[in-house]
Amino acid sequence: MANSLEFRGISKLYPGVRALDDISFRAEGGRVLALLGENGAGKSTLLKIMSGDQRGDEGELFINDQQVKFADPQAAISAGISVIYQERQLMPEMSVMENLFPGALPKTKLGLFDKRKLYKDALEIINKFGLPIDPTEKVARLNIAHQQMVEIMKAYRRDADIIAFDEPTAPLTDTEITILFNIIRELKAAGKVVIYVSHRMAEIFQITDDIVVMKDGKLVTQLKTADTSEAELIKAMVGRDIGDTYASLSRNTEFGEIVLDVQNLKTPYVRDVSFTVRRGEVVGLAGLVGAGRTEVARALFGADPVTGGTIILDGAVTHFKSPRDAIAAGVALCPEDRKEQGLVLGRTIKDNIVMPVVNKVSKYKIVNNRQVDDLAEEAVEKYSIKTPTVDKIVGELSGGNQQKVILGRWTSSQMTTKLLILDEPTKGIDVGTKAEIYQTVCDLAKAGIGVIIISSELTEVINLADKIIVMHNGHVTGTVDRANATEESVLAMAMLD
Amino acid sequence: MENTTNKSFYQRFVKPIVTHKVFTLVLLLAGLWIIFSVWAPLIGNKFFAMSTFRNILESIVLSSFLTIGAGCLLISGDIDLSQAAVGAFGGMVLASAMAGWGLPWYLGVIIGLALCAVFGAANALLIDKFHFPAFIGTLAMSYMAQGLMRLFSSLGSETGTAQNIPFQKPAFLKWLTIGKVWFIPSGVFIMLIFFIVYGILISKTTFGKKVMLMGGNRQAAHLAGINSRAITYILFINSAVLGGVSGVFNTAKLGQGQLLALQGNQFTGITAAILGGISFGGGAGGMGGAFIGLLILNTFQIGMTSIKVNPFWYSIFTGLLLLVALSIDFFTQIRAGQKMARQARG
Amino acid sequence: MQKTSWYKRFLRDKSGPLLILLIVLMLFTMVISSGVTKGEKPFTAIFTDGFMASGNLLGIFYNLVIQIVMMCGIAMILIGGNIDLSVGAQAMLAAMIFANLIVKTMLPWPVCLLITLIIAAGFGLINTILINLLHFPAFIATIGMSSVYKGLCNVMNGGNNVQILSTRAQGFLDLGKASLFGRFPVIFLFALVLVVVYQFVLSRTRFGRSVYMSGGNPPAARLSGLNPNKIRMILFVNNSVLAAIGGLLWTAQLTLASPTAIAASAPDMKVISGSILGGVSFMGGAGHLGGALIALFLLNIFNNMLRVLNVQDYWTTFAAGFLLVVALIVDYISAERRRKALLAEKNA
Repeated sequence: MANSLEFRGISKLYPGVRALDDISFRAEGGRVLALLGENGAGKSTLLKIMSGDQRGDEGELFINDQQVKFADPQAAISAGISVIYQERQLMPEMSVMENLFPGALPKTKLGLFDKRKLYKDALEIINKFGLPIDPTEKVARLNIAHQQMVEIMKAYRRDADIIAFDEPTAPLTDTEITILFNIIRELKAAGKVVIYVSHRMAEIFQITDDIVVMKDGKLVTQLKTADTSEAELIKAMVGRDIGDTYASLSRNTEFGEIVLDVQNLKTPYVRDVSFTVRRGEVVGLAGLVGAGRTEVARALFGADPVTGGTIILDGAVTHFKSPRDAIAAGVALCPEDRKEQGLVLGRTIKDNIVMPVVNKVSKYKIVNNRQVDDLAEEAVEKYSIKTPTVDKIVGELSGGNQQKVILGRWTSSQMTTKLLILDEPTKGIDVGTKAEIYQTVCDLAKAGIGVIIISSELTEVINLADKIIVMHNGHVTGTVDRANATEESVLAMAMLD
Repeated sequence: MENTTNKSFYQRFVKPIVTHKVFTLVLLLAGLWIIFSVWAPLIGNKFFAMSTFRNILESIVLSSFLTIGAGCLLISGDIDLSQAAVGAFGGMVLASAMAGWGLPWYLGVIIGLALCAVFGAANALLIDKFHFPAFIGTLAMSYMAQGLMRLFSSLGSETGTAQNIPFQKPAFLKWLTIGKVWFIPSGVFIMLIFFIVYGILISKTTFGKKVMLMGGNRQAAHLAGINSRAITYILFINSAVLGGVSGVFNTAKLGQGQLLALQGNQFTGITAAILGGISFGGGAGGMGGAFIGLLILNTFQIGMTSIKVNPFWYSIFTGLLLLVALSIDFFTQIRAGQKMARQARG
Repeated sequence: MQKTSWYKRFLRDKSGPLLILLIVLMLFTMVISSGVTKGEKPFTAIFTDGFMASGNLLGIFYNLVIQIVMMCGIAMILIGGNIDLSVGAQAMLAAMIFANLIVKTMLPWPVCLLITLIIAAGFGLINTILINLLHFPAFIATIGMSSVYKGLCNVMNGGNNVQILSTRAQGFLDLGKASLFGRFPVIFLFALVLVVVYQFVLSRTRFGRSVYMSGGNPPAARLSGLNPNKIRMILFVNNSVLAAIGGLLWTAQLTLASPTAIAASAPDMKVISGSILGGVSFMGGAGHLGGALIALFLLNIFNNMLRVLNVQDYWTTFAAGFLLVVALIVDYISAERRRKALLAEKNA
């Protein structure tokens, strides 16, 4: 019987966001299905549900037209599902061979774990892939590309009927990508269901047969790769109205003097990073995941150590030892991970807004509650945060409103923010709110704030920023103006080696 | 405007009280009182009396300081298991200072508390600098404190071996144990002052707000410019010094530095604080709840005496209460999480 | 299949330098101790008097055996990424239960032993339930339970010791005292066999490898199809049974069970420090029982020499905490160094 995997009406709710909304589609054996969508579209969540890591709140899952329910990942593995996660699931202190067979170490007749056979089996797979990896080497000592290949081999050797790859090529070089694609073709020929998650267009057209496009947790469309074009896919991914959204933004056109001058910045994660930001200018940091954009932001904010180079803020050389220093000097950061790094989810809106200025809204060290309320209400009004009161728990807000709370925090009347760094500000946020946040960014620029925006959505950076700095592998590979920027040119620089 | 004036009496006054976390605790406390008041006479004892209430209040003095220190730390998301041992050490230093070295009591108290503060700082150092899990770092520290306590007890004694150190109580220490302020026993009076001061500190001041936010999400607090490192040091030192205060009280009460001082109190502070609604994960709760948590804990103990339960059961019930308090905390958090998910959906 | 020889691995292992430090400390105290007892000739006296005198050595062995047995359980829990702070209390309660069974029932001692071990397995189950189902942090759950167990010990006989005078238990008591060649306790052999068997389980069985995996990266282990909850349950039950055996050995040695003594001697702390000093990672996923055994051995000799030197007992309590702190700092520094080295390698 032919293999198949079908989702029917799958939904998943997280605090603050509807991660999946009524997803239904079918993947057939012997074909490669691409799952396409921007960051936060819900692709990874869907994979987590099919791998038994999480359970959907609604909907059903069918394998070969039989309904299945997974209590844990073990159940999904037994049912023949194998998932290669974006975050590598390896045990760094253990050998490659043990990492290849974590749940299924070979046994001897006596029931002991058979090291000899393990070595042989591991070597067989490694040789099949044609990789120069020693099975006894500790995984921590491999380079990232080889670690990723270990992850892929681990899923491959389970001989699963359904196999899903989540952005497998991000850390790989061309050699490994070729190997990977050969393996995928082999799987396809063997009649297996292959699900391939990626946002690299070229790969999608090279390897896949069907495409499912997702956006904001919803399924936008399902089509055949042969019948579509890159332009059509981008349109589906981004949404029809998005072009208009950018066109209708009321932008700032007058830039002031240089507010931030970064010269040869060096940290443990990045090197030779130089750029400037003017007052009222929106500067975009583009690049692939792991290019070092977030690391630059953290270094500028005093959250990571700076090991070399100069940061000049408003004409003065700075040495921030902690975010505290940076905030005092007028730098603000909306971090990448809103829930883990940005907000105190269990506390109220006003507490979250007043965080950096607790000392300023007090007299004799006693907090002035009226001032706190005023400050919070000011933000709620300014950003039209949808909430009945400022005493609402932040975790109960939607993702977009949560992001607005953070914006409200950094732009309150008690703050003197000169430079605002937004790291993935629209991740997991619905289209409507995205447009509001874009306009907010422009408004802040008009007010004379220098803005750095980091986003993995290329269209977003290209259309929002006045100047785009492209990064690759920890250093800057190019700078372009909005007028001259196209997705292709920026992507070319982002993938430059 | 109209809305606020039209609010019913219930909405304006009753609802905020009834829905407050502390209210549930007060109900629980009242329930305990009723149970014991009914039960005790059945076996020929008396529970419901002013004297019982005073007994309970006096019995919580020692552990109240531990509770305050542990509570503040828990709110910030940390834990200190060395508090009682460090406190006993502080109490012993006081006794040695007076009996062995002939120092006046106030110098003994100052030296004792200062040394406790050193322990607190060491705890914070291990956790902040060397990234120890708080519980293991402080547990190790508690053994070092115990060792040093015995060392000090031998310094104060003539034979050079570890032993209890008796001393002549100076007037102040006498007042501390049997004196009265107006009609309130001095110990109880001091305890109430501490609760009020720390209550204001946590709920009204900028420091308290920062502690609360840091407990809710340390990383976010750090990235919002809250100096979580300094707060960690302050709270660990505070916890150790309050442990010391408790040790001083114990020493004063017994008239001797005792080797077994505060031995049963290692988790009293933590249990009372969690029982009083301070979340184990940090970021929620207050001193009022902690106070009532402590009252519940000791009402339980004294109530059990009144119904003639073998005192050996105490440690069992303390352990079980800690686990029950944690379970309640756990289920509250699950409910809050579900509420977040529900609201975000709408 | 391993290409590096064992001694190189030992030196590269973070426990290597620590153990060398311990040995140096030991030799140092040994010399001093013989100097103290003999006055003049520090070296020749070592084996005749002072520390190495055989009576003293036997004393070390008895305590060591109990710790080694407990270590097998706790080290495996640590490798699996958990912790149990109720070992001492469990040992004590098991001893009390056993003593009561002997004294108050007519059952033969092997039956009593079996019942005790089954009950002890129940302690492990309770810990697992609290951690797996209610998601308590392991340390607080086990601390809470340890206070419950200590209380139960007191309740059981009104806080009194239970003397085992019954001749029915003679076989059991003899077991504790039996020795090989007149001076080598049989239980010490038992403990060594236990270490060998458990290390074999850890390194040679699928279960053992999955313990390392679930300790090294719990989410990854789960996603790889391992069942961390089940592994945790087995480890905790095993640990509780071993703790009970430790308590029974104690009882066999003293012919009585005390409701305070074992927990008061803080075996938890000693065993955990020993394991970490011996290279078991506090964060889970690394370590072996051999290292922990050597570390425990040296720790005990060290402690004992302090006693021979007439160092007061409070220094031993202090040392228990202090050595744990040192072990953890070394653990942290070596992890930090590895991290930096990896980062540098990747940047190059």
